[in-house]
Amino acid sequence: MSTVSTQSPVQSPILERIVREHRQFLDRLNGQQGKHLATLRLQAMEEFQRLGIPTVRHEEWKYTNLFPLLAKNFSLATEVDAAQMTDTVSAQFRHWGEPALVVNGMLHPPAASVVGSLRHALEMDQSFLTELGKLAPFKGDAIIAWNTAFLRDGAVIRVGDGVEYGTPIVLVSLLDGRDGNVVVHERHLLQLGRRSSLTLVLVQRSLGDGQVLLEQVLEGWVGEDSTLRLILVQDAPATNHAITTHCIELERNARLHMTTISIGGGFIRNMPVVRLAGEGADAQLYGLTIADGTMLVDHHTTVDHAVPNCTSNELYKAILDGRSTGVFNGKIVVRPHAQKTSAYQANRNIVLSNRATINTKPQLEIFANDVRCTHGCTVGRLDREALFYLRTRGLSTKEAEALLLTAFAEEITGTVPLNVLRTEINAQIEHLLGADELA
Amino acid sequence: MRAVNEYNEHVDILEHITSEDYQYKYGFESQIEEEVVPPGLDESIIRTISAKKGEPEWMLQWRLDAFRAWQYMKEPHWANVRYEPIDYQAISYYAAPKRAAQPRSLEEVDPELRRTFEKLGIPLHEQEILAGVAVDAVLDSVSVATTFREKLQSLGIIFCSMSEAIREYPDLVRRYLGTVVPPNDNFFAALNSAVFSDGSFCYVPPGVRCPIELSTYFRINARNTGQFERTLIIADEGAYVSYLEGCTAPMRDENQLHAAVVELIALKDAEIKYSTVQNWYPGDKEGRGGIYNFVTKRGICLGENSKISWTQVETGSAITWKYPSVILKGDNSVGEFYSVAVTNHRQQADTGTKMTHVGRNTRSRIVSKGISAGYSQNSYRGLVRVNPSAENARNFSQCDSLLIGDQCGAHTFPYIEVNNPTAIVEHEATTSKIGEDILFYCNQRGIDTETAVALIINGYAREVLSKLPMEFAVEAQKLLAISLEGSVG
Repeated sequence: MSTVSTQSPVQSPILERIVREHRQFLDRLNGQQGKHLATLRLQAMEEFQRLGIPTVRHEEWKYTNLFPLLAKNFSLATEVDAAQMTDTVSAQFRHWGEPALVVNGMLHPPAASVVGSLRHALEMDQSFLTELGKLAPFKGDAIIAWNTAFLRDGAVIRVGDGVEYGTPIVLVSLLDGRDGNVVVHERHLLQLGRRSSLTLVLVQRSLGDGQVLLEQVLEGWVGEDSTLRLILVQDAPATNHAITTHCIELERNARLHMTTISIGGGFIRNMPVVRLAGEGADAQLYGLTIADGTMLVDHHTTVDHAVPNCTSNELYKAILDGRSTGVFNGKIVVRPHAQKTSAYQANRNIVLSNRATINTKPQLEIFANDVRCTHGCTVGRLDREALFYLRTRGLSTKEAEALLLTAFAEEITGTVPLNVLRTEINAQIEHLLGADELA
Repeated sequence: MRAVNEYNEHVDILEHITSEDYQYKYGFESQIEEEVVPPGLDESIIRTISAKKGEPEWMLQWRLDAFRAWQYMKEPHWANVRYEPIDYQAISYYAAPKRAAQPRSLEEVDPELRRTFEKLGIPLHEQEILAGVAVDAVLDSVSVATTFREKLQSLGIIFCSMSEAIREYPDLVRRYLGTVVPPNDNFFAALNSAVFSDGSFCYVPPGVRCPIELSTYFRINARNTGQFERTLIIADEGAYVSYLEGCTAPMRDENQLHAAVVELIALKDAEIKYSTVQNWYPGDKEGRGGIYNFVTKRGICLGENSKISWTQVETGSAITWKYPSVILKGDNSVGEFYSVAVTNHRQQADTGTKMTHVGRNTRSRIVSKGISAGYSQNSYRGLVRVNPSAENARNFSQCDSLLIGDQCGAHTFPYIEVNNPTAIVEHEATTSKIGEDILFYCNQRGIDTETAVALIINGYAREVLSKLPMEFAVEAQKLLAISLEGSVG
């Protein structure tokens, strides 16, 4: 606890506020949920204080400054009575799949589903605690420590061996900003057995005009020969902010197909951490950023090849306008002896305005020799020749630009495995880029 | 068996030479006793150094300012290298002219070293100079150097040691020294600014094209310039100069820490080409000893249409930590960086470049080829920054890594920061190994594995080697092959 004094004066008030809220949070819980969980929360808080809030001096946060965001004085969201809300909100997402609502961090599980609440799971079975933090340990990671310190509820999704779960699960994070700015911590666990599959959609919505910050950690295990399709839809208004950490481990021949669509919100930082832990595992990561205004979108990916014969592929694209900032940091680690690894990564960016900024840092750390790893990254504006070509075919500059940008974006939206969702996202993007006005 | 013993013995000698005690011991036994200051660093030491060199007051103040800044700085640890902490108070900061323990003839020189010389095809008398043999041959090189100096003088080119420049051309030095790498730029640059012993100074007047490749080799007092070298090269309007640093032959050196600073300034329409072949003692096969090379190299394209080009072949040093950079300030200026970095055994290299685009229509090109073998770690770390003012900036970067053996590591950390929509920045990187099928193909045609590897490596590094001046390029090719000897098969 003595480490508080070493914090710089700038972050002290924010950190102090969080420490104070943590104490109140523990008081409110009043020893519910058992001693072990209480200890875990305290340890995590200690670690969070030791590490402090990451500053731009921190290599992993070099281009993303948390302080302007945290200066919004988010207070910890409290439990709200969501009984009436559940149906109306769920109804909006029913055509995507099976909605499960998380209101201010508390899960309202749909009846008869693979989705259960973490709170209940912990109450029923203390041994469940040992699962927590296996993939997302709070040691050394301030954000996970912050999440663990305030850990209360979230979804537990378990799909048994041989189950191909057909209906996509839509996890809707609903944040109540009607009484000012709030921060919500969510912790989700996902377990896929052998030869099973699941499609999971994560989406964020808010109530009221307050600024809301979703701080979400997901730990997912994908068993042998199983497939996880994960879709992260970030299309909320600018009052919505998100810091997400998705740690996923793939067993032998397991597959991950992840698409992140970041086209709305204020401050977004996504940190997928994929660990290829069984031979033959394959991870495909796709991301699209369309940012305008003062929006900041940071995709901070880690793909860890821990064993031989795994493949990974990443493609992240961004279109930046206004005063927006795009950040991409793609780390690929190939551990010693992870031979025959194939890892590809590409990052393509289009900058439309003078005041938009893109910072990109592909990063390869390779400790094995028999590997094929490549990464490529480009930054530029729209191809003048392509624009000219379309102009000669009678399109206005605006139309031509919209057409080219839509085509650029569709390479990513095309990877969304749900037809309904893909069509909706494409329509939204066309609207954003002004392509829907075209004849 | 005898050969093995002999080899071990020589390894011991080398170890001994590079160890700290050695420095200490011979520092005091040196015949020119008054030229050595005791280990440690404080203001009085800096005053002593400055006084010994007969420097003017402004230079002393400049050093002291740098020292005061250094005291508040922390040694950086972000690079991807590991080493034992350095005790800055245990180093003797002025020991330049010592001539301790020179072998009397080539017979006494490490046979390993001599074998390398033979492979490089270095003439006998040059071998003696390089191995530090105290022979009269040095006199020959003095006369050679004098001839070159006269030629340069007739063109108005100033090429001399830094100490001489401070005495003879104080206006030029004062105007440019520290303008590219400010004394408080980073920890090692500040240390260098406070205690630098000597280095090269070069000024090429407007419109003059320097007819020869300038090299420290031609400067009379080039030998033993010490561990804190300071180089300043200025190309005035429309001038051209090509500068060679280092040498393909293994350099024997007593100092473990090297923190040099190189500053290049290119005015309007000027061009500077700076080539380095660095082959300092990398330590033994277990990574003991070896030189720490922590260098700050930076050039600025100050005027329009100017060009700075860095070419480096890095095969030596236990730890290399350097990022030759270019600030592209003038409109239409061009920055280039070509690098081959080879690490073997336990060597560690964290090297790359920074291209900062400030002016309009500025262009930069980065080609980096890393080769890691044995247990070594080789990192490329680069920054391409396009400032809002840099309209139509263009960058192309390529960094490839080649891995030989399954115990080494290759890492890339390219940072790209773009603040202007008209910029076009491209970056690509690949990592691969020498294909067994290629080796097999060569073997099949009667080329042994070692030669085949050399062949493949040279093809891989060709793009960079072709940028080196002719005579350097041939030696560098052989050097690559030698550095990787025994790493395959």
